[in-house]
Amino acid sequence: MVVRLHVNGQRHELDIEPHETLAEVLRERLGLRGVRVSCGEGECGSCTVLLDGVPATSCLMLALQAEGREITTIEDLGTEDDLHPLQQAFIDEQGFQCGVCTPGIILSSKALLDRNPHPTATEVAGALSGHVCRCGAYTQIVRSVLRAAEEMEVRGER
Amino acid sequence: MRTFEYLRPATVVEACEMKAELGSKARFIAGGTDLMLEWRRGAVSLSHVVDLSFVRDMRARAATSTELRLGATETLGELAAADGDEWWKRVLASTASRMATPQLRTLATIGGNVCHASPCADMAVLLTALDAVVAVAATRGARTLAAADFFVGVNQTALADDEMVTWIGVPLPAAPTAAAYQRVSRTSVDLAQASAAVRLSSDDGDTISDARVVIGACAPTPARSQEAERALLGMSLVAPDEKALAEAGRLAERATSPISDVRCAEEYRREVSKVLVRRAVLEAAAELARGAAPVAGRPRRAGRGV
Amino acid sequence: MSADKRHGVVGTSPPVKDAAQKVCGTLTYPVDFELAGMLHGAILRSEHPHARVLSIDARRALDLPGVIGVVTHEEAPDLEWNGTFFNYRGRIFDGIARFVGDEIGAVAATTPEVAHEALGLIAVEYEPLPAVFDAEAAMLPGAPQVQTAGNIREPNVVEWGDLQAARSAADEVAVADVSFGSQQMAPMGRNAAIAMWSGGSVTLHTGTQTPSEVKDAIAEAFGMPRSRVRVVGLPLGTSFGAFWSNNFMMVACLLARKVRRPVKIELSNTECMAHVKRRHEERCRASMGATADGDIAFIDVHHLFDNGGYGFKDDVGYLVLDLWGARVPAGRFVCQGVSTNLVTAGCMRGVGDVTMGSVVERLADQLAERCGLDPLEFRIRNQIRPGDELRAAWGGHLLRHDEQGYERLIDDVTRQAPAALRENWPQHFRLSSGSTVEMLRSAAEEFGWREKFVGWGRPYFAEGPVRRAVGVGTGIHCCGEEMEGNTDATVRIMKDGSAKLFCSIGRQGTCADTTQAMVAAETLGIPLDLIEVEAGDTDACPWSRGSIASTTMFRTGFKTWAAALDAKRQLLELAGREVFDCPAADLDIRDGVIYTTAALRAADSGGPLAGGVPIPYLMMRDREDTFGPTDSITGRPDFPMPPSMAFARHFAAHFVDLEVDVETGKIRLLRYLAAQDSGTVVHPKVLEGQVIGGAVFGAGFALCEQLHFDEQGRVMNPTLSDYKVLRSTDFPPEATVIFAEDPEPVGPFGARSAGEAPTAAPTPAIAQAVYNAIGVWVDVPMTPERVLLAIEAQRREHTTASGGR
Repeated sequence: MVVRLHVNGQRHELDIEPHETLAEVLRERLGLRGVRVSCGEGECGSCTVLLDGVPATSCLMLALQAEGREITTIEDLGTEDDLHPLQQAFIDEQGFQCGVCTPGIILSSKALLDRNPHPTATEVAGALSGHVCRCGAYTQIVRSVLRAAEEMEVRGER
Repeated sequence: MRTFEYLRPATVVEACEMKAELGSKARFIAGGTDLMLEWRRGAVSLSHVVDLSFVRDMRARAATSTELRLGATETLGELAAADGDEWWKRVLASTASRMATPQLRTLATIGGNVCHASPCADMAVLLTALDAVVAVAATRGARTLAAADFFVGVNQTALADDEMVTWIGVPLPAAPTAAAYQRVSRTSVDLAQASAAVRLSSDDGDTISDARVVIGACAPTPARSQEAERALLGMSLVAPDEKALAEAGRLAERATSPISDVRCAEEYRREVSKVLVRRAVLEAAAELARGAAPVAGRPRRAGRGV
Repeated sequence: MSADKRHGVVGTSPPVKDAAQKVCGTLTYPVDFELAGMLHGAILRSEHPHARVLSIDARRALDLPGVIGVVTHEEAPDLEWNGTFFNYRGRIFDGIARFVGDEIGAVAATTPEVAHEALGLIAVEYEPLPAVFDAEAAMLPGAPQVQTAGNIREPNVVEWGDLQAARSAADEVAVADVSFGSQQMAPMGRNAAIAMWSGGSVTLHTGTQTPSEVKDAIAEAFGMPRSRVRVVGLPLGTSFGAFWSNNFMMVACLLARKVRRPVKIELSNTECMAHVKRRHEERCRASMGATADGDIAFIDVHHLFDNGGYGFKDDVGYLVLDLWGARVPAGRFVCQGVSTNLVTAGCMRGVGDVTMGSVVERLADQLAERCGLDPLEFRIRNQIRPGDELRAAWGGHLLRHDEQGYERLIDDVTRQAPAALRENWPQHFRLSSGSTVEMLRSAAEEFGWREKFVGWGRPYFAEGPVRRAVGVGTGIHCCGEEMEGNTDATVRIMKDGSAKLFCSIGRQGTCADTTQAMVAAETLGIPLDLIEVEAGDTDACPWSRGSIASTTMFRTGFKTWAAALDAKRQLLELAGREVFDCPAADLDIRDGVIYTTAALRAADSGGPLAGGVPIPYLMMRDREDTFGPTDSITGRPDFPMPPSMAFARHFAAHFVDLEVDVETGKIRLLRYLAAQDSGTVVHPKVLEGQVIGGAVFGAGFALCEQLHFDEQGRVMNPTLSDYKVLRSTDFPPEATVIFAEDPEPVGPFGARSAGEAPTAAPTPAIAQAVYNAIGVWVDVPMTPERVLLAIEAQRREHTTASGGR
């Protein structure tokens, strides 16, 4: 059946099977491989996308259920030639190791800074509790988000 | 290929008609975080899913002075973000914010949590302690059930094949009230190994005049103990009686029938549920003692120094 | 190569090479990798823990539209293949299942869904065989035999001194018997293997820590020349030992050969967690004795571990033997591996030192308490220091300095390096550098240890059910080892002065390609931006051990340095001959430009920097000997590395402040400080990540991670909902790392390795802190339930002891 998705500011009309998850459609049909599927059970957070600016698990949600929502993936945040301040902060603070959880974490961090531009380290850790970083980079991840918060404050950006 | 039909009703009436026609072959989906997990694991087969997440009149929350109505498809995320002084807002928000993960909460709904009826379901336990009623609709008519009657067994509710949950009503007692939810788990994101939900009211502002004590994750359904509740009546809010607390914990635990599973052993559940009851009582009592929350729409009592 | 050389890039934290790709989500992991025309494979797995396959009927599967082919043991070569470090021995399929989930066959189809559906249509007739699920039962006569070579491996033994006499001389003796369940790697990002044949040659794309050894394994499994095997290691999610050479990679190759099309087998999360690999289940029975003054008199350890269905190991890494045994007059460590019908077990980050190490630390703490020493004093008094004799054996090779032949062999190896380079190289069988001593002192101060440690078994804070206390634990691991294979690297300088480093290493998040490039950049004097790294393609990289056993910075780094030195020598000889008309020894390179050393000295004292010849100019000008330009220069090491096991170790000391709720048993970590001695720190931020990452990993093992098996050997918790790992809210978000940089004479720019000691230190630190909080030693995983049980057991003991009051 036909699904109409609004992804990263673009409208798509796709013919899919009803059981296809949002993650599958984003990855396989739209080539957005930054949406990672690791545990596939909603536990690890690597499939996190933003739905109307709010972090959501995409590996269990049916793509059909995302109609009418604004879907944002990491690909919309910035590119290698034009990084978002959050992405730059993660690079500068080495807020990753293997990188699998990174796109999801950056999206959740963006949502956090959108609603709370001056979080404490504890608040950052709390906002990211839905992400497993098996590399254990939590300390540097928190540092990256705090740094981005400062940067974005200085630049007057969100 | 393994797939299913997808239906998207716009109203409750439409949804009921679809379910009446398709019967048990069709399952409702809202957040889908439980159902889709089961389907992917091969634990359930589906011919149709009926998506309730687009039915607008199921999401709304409304409160009068005597009742709170939670829309069945209000998400846990919306509940966790509920901001305000009302005692029920605080406990619902704090409970919701301890469930699953932030990303899952964006999708998962109160109705879904309640209908999945896991023995550990945090909302189910809390709502039972809040004397909630579950409003159920079908083409042939609507009804409400008390939470205690709604939860029937492990992953089993009293819903008939053609019925769906539309809203959940939480009575708001006239007397000052507070509620608390305590849980223990292995890590910060985990199903509860044991939990306790307590609601206390105080007519005179000094002692407990009404109590609800419910233990979760220690029985097939939320386990209420009226004996434990009686043991708390008359207890001081500012100087809680340790013996009464211990007795309440002991009696509450007697209403449970915990099992050992991959998360922990039965003995641990028995031990810790008593502790959680005590802590939930203390938390709710302290909130009442502070006079923290005026009942919605009623002025604070004067001259009590609160 | 001494550590007091002024560094350009070593010691800085530049953005790692693939940083932008990781934060933009554009990195291609194995599950993302695709080849045109590829099919999708799914693996048929045994439902029985031990069974013979009597028949496999795939006709209904082959009839399913989209199914292209099936392979079973009937098509598999009758050849055993061996994995790295004996982590695997078996045939691709041999018609026998040795654990629930063992590979029995595979299907290739046009889509993954069809392939999985086809699995259900394959009719398998099994003859269930008796199965055995724990190591001790598997050692009994008459036990079901899991491996054709039998269940029991030869014990690995190290002993020294007169243990009998030492036992009698000890004033205090502590005893422990601790069993450990399996930790699971729980890898993020899963994995996939994409195999493609072209004539008689095969190419395999996959995620692996050991590309060269996967190549060897494929050659062995198929009985084909290695020259026809190419493995391309892709960037990988986490591995921690999960993905070295694995049978699913062999299955992908077999399936692709059968259907004559590329085949991708993608592992599900459950397969990764239940059907690939795990840490051993281990049991450590140990005793340690000390004099009344607190000198350890003896250590006696008996360590049994299970190999699961296909592991073939005879030891775990137990460098704890060196950490604690170096100054002890007598001791015995016996380690033995036994096969069981559980999923294959093998090396996982910190192998042996995580488990056995934690038991030795507990015994040490118990003795320290009895001797009236605090945990720091006891460690400083007894632990190894540079220059002390090493005892650690590896793979049965006992390193004893009185075995003349072995020492001479090592000296011959060492002497092949130029004298100027090895003037500070260590005496073998003695620790070359690093220890816990200085680290413990400075870390303790940074942590505020003195204020918080108020005595053994005493919390510094107790109110209601809350008890707070601090603990310290130390850990050690090797810096790679050389038995069974070496590391290697080559460097190519291109005509334009850019360079590429070829070294076969793992790409599982250690950012080792960047740190190796930094070693090359520092050695060559070429900007880091101009150096790229090929880390995974065995057609491009020389054979190398891969990133295991904390090998990469130390051993691969050594070869990178040596290769870069060779390339530099060639450049400077060319420059001296063609342009400067002076010996190469009078030249050097800075920022990609060649200068005389005199010019550089003048500039360093304040004068202008002049007379430089950019490398591209040198390379592109026509030479006198060939009349043409120099297209490229290839540098390769021209001397071997001395064996690391004979002198190098890395160290960790972790401090934790935690809280125990004695009514629920819940432990909450409040503060964490991880100190590390890995010699010179090449990239501080990357190393910090490795140290904290190891701490989180080790803390998970301490607090909540354990695989549970049912009575049929099936993993009961193969998902993250029931295999719990620590999240950002379970570990202090502002953990601290401090480095002690005792420079290593042999390692590149004084660096040693880093990855595994930080996984060993958390468990003893947390266990000690819990003991200090509640007065009870709790075995791992210290779940709330187990803590509560331990508290109650102790309460019952005290009640009994005090006459039932």
